[in-house]
Amino acid sequence: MTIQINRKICLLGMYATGKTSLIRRYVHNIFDEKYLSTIGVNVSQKLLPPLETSNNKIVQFNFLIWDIEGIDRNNKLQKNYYAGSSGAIVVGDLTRKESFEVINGLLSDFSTICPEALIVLAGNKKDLLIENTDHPQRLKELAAQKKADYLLTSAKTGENVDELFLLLAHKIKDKL
Amino acid sequence: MPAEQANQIADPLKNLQQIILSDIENRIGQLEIAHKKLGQQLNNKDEIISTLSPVLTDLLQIKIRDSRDEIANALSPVMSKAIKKQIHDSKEEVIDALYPIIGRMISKAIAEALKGLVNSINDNINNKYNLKIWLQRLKAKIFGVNVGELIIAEQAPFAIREVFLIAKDSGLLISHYSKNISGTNDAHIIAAMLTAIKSFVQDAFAKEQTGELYEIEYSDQTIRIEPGLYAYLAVVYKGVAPFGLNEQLTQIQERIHTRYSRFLRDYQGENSRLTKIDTLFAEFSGKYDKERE
Ligand SMILES: Nc1nc2c(ncn2[C@@H]2O[C@H](COP(=O)(O)OP(=O)(O)OP(=O)(O)O)[C@@H](O)[C@H]2O)c(=O)[nH]1
Ligand SMILES: [Mg+2]
Repeated sequence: MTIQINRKICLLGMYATGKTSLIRRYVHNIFDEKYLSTIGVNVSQKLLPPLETSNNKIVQFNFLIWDIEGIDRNNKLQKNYYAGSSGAIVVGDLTRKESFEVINGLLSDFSTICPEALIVLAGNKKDLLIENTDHPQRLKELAAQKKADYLLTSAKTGENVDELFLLLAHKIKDKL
Repeated sequence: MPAEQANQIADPLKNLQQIILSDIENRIGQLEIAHKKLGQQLNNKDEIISTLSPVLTDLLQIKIRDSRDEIANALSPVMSKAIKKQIHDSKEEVIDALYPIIGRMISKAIAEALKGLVNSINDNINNKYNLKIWLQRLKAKIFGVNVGELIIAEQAPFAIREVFLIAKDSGLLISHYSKNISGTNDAHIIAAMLTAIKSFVQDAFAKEQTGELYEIEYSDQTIRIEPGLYAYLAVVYKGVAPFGLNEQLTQIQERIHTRYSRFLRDYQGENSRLTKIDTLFAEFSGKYDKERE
């Protein structure tokens, strides 16, 4: 028998890193070059494939994915939307170094509100990655420091997008 | 006295002395043993307890009977500290225990206040002698409803469309009832968005004090929110709420929180154990349909 479990997860990160695009790719399998900044929060839903737990139960997550407006200098409201999350995908933009610098502060806020939540990091826009930049290295260090897993993704090509959400799902499942 | 004779006299004396002394020595020996035993008893906690405990309750009872105030004065500092500590250590349990009682107290107070309001409306109505009201009063007599209620009911069509029970922090949908089965697909997203709106409003408008969002209106539809300790109720209805709807919602909320308090407290996104709440909602909304017919 499959047990269905509803869980809230958040997508966090600096503005224009591709949070909305990753969700649209994952949930609807579409991509748009146009940039429409998210205001407040937008919620999507995705029923994941059934997963087997370590004690041989079959669980199926129904993810409520909170797409939270990106961090910029002016707004501080994002914190209001963190409560009750089981996990977060923190997105950085592989073409913009600054997008990795905000992650530390963001994660410390998030972990204060959701101490039990699991974290996965994403370096997005892999399709635009110029060889020999050290941004992936920066992401790798950040992940090691936070003891979190990370993936390089592209919402445009779809590379590693399903894998990104599944990675978080497996981590949540392992903690059941 | 010749020595021999003296010896002869001394011997019986000695004998007597021995007889008396040995008895005394014996007794001293016994006393020493008893004394030692007593000493041991006094040093051994368990022994003291087993010796004293049969009389302790009697002693306390007598003391409490004879000098009640004295005992109360002696115990109160310790007792209040102990109670404080107990509450501090088991806040969750205390909240669980008090929540239904406090809820009932508050709803009773509100019910009283509302009764007053209804009475004053009825007084108002009594003062106006127009034909319409007389007709309505006649209807009320025939159908057995209160005039004030009837006036409101006739003016406003009312129907409950959807009921949601939503986890307070995560915004996860715990239970849902919908009049038309379509629309159900988005219920999870609606629950989450409603929660996001609530948080937004709370932060934006209640900077200094903690407020709650109670109502959202959209053309002729209203979302009425009934807060709760672990989960809040959101009822979507069309038309004007009949008298007493809010009280009903408070009652349902109390019932759910009393019956499922543990499940709701430890809620982790599994709804299979809470499906009975859906039935409760269907009954609740069906009741209003019947009242209309
Ligand atoms: N080439 C490329 N462009 C991307 C990718 N992901 C997102 N973009 C583009 O980056 C821009 C921003 O994407 P969004 O998904 O809106 O970014 P966001 O993080 O949701 O931004 P905010 O809502 O403002 O926080 C858009 O123009 C997207 O088309 C990607 O993987 N590759
Ligand atoms: Mg966005």
